[in-house]
Amino acid sequence: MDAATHTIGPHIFEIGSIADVKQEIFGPVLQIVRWSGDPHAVIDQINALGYGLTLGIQTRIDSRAESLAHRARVGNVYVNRNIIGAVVGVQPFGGEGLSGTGPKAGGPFYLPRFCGEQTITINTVAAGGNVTLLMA
Amino acid sequence: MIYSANPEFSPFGSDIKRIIMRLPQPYREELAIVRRNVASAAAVLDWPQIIDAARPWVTAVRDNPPPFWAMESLLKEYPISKPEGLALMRLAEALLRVPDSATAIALTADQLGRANFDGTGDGMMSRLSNSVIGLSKKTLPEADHPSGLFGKLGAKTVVAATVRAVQLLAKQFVLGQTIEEALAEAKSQRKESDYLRFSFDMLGEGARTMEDADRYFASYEHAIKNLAKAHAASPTQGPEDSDGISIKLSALHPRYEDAQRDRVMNELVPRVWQLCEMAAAAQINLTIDAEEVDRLELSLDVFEALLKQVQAKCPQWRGFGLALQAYQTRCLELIEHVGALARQYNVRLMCRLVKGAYWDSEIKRAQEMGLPAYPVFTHKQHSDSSYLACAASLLKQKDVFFPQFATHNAGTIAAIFQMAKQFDAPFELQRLHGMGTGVYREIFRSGSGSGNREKSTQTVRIYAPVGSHGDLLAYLVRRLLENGANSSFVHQLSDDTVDIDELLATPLTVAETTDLPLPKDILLPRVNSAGVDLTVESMRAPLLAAYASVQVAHPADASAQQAADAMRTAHAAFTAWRDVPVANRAMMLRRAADAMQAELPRFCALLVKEALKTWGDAVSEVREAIDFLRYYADEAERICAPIKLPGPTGEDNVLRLHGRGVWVCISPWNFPLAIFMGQVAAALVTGNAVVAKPAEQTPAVAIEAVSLLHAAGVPVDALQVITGLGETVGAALVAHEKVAGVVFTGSTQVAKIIQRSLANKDGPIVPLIAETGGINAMLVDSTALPEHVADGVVQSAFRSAGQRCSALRLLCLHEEVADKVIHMLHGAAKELTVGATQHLATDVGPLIDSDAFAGISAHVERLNSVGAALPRPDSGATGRG
Repeated sequence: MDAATHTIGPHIFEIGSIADVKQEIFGPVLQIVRWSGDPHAVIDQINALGYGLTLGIQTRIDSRAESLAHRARVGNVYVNRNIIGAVVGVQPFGGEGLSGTGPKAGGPFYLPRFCGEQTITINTVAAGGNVTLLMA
Repeated sequence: MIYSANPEFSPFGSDIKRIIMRLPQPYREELAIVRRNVASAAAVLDWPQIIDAARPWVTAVRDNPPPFWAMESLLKEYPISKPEGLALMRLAEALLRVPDSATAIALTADQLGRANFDGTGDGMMSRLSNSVIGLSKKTLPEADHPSGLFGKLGAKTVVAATVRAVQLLAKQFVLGQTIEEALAEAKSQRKESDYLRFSFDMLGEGARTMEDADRYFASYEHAIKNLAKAHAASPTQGPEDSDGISIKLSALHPRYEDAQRDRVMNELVPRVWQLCEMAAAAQINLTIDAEEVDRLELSLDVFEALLKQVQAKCPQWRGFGLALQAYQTRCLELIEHVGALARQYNVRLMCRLVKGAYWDSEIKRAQEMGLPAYPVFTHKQHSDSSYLACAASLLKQKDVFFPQFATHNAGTIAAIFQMAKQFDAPFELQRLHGMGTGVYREIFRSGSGSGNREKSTQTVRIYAPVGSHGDLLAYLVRRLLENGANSSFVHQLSDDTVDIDELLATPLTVAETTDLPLPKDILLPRVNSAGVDLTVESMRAPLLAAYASVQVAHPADASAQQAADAMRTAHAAFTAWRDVPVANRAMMLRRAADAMQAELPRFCALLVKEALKTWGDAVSEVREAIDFLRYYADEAERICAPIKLPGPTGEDNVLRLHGRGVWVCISPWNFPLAIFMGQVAAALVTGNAVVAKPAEQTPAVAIEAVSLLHAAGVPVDALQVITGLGETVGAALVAHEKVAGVVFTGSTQVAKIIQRSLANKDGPIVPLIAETGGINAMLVDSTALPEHVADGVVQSAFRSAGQRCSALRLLCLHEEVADKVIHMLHGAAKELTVGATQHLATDVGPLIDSDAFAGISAHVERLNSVGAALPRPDSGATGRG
């Protein structure tokens, strides 16, 4: 740590349980917990934190990765890689719960939220005659 | 408040002394290079004669296939293109490292569940699969859904049998689990032929920690000692006639990468030299293995430093060399350069020519980084023709090269015999342990095929991986899976439906079309943003130059009154902007994207200076901003097109989208360009006016971004930027009556404040889009590869000093692998360079300001006091379940 330059090196801590993590620490600080038994129970505990932005899953069991991702209430799930660097239009980015409202930036549902919508209905036979029916 | 770098310090940092590029930059147009290679190979080859020479080998191999245990037989029965082959390989990659039976059962069930092993073939592996793998499927529970006790007992037995099958497979990849075992195996194989040599390699994952590097060093050292002992029996033999060793530089240092050049030269070179000195004393062949393209220049710096030592201390040693990858488009220039070095230092080299084993990852990297072209050939035949051109070059330079041709391709081998005869040059052939057994059996039997070649020059060296199956198999299988195309000759050789003429067809042609789009075209119709390879001097120089000249503006904070004025002005401009056709609005975004692409160096430099980004992060961020502009341009045209809806006859129904009014865009300092630009571009292109408030720490880059949009045609009144504090101007903007929507990225707490402020207002209810933080987790089970986990964790938790909303905060490790992974993470984190971000070597830069520093420091202190009660990972005192 260097107060003059505001640098803090990487820090790693082992903690007792997932529920001990109370808030986001926005710096190079990693907390580690151990688990055993059913990995789905671990996902439940992660969900219980209330946030839902990114999640990493590292496993060679494909069906496990699928079912864990399905159970997780997070916006971006990364399997067997790092969990940063979402690419525009490739990995639409954004979460749920305490992590945000959506829609995801860089995804197909983002722009509509910025828009008003207008439906225009025109009675084309107001002046009489129905061209479509005539031609049918 | 903001940490400013010492202006006296050169932005080049430790890089100022580095040598300019030895080779051309790696991202050149492919076809021009292929034409040159084809022309130079064609000038020395008579292909019809080559076919005549190789045909008898191929026919003989087909008539008399290699034994069932050979890798090529296995690949024939279970090709990795089929689910069975892939399942087998993936089991081989992971199963041996799984420590707990529950997970091993889940893994086996999962992989075998995907494939049909009921066996239609009649080979040994089929019979094995019938008895073991086929049975497994029937007995195993579904992954993660274990059945009753009986089922579990049955499953354990099946998994044990599968483990034995995988170990059998491992023997085909690995010559021995120790060097002693490997030497004994080599001795036994040599009984078949006097012309057999070996190059042993303690292959495996690269070093992530200094401890890994020390372990690899000890293992190479031990192997060389044993080789020296074996060689002492026949001291007159040169390195051509005795077994040697191959070493991987990435195994000998945890940071063998271009940005860490100083460390590599100071720490790695002396280490490698120790091994070289031992190999030189023993007069054996030591080959430096080739690795990824972004390490090629660096590897040459290391190589030259070692050559200097060789010249000074053991000039008589003729066994030093390195591997050259023909799939690299620079391979011919590389050979010229290495030849020139050899002459300069007056050292005869032994150089292995390989096709190259990282093809998939090179292609993926080039696409991800948005590079101008691929550094490797995109067609197998282009790599083949490069191989031949490079072989010719090596053979012609017999004053400095003893070439070692590593290939399993019968046509290539015949071509080498032809050229070697023509140039009267000595050489050896090499094959991978377990591969090419059929072809090489025939070559040994028949000689060169031209009938008049001296037997003594037809030595074959086997590249032989040595190490424990659990460590090695994962690495080797991945190499094999990543290089399906690499073994294609072997595949086709065993495939009777491929005609021999086709198999031996000349590669000396140019494939004018390719199925592989250039990196810029992978997202078509949208153009991918262009990136920068910071290891390439010519690509990096403009960034460093921009850093020297770029000025960071420090605008005064706006007042609440100015914020209100901006809202009114924007509101007045809204209707006219909304009525600009969407195609025109989209065009302005695309124009701004092109302008930003052209000015990428300046924007990167701004990010490094103002936002304290590392260079790599800065490049990614500018690219993201460009991508946002282009993506939203396309998206707006898609969604703003009128949608015709069905209905009764006599009625037209159309749905249309339009801008809502004035959006307030509030963005954070951690992505002061990309998130800022994304919010603004999305609001603008859908026909909204915008008042944007960048973070108070990073207004300068936002102002520059807005200038680009104005220059691209966005009216100044329709897009305004207001700088200042969130509590004052941010609050004033959100509270303004004309707000039609707020898009915010930042903390959950501030998002709530905005939400309440919007709710407290009279007037319309407006949308809020909030992207806030996360307690992001990673779950790791015991099938994961610890080295890959360490890579992913270190990048996710520590890159950008953890100042990303996506960053990893909570790592959940399965108890069976926790000790190992935690130990590795501590070791890997220790190797990171912490410091000022203008230096290319920096991995972890400063926190954004003193408030952030104080906040994180307090957390660290708190965790230190809490964490002290827990077992330290290094103590080994942790309990295991």
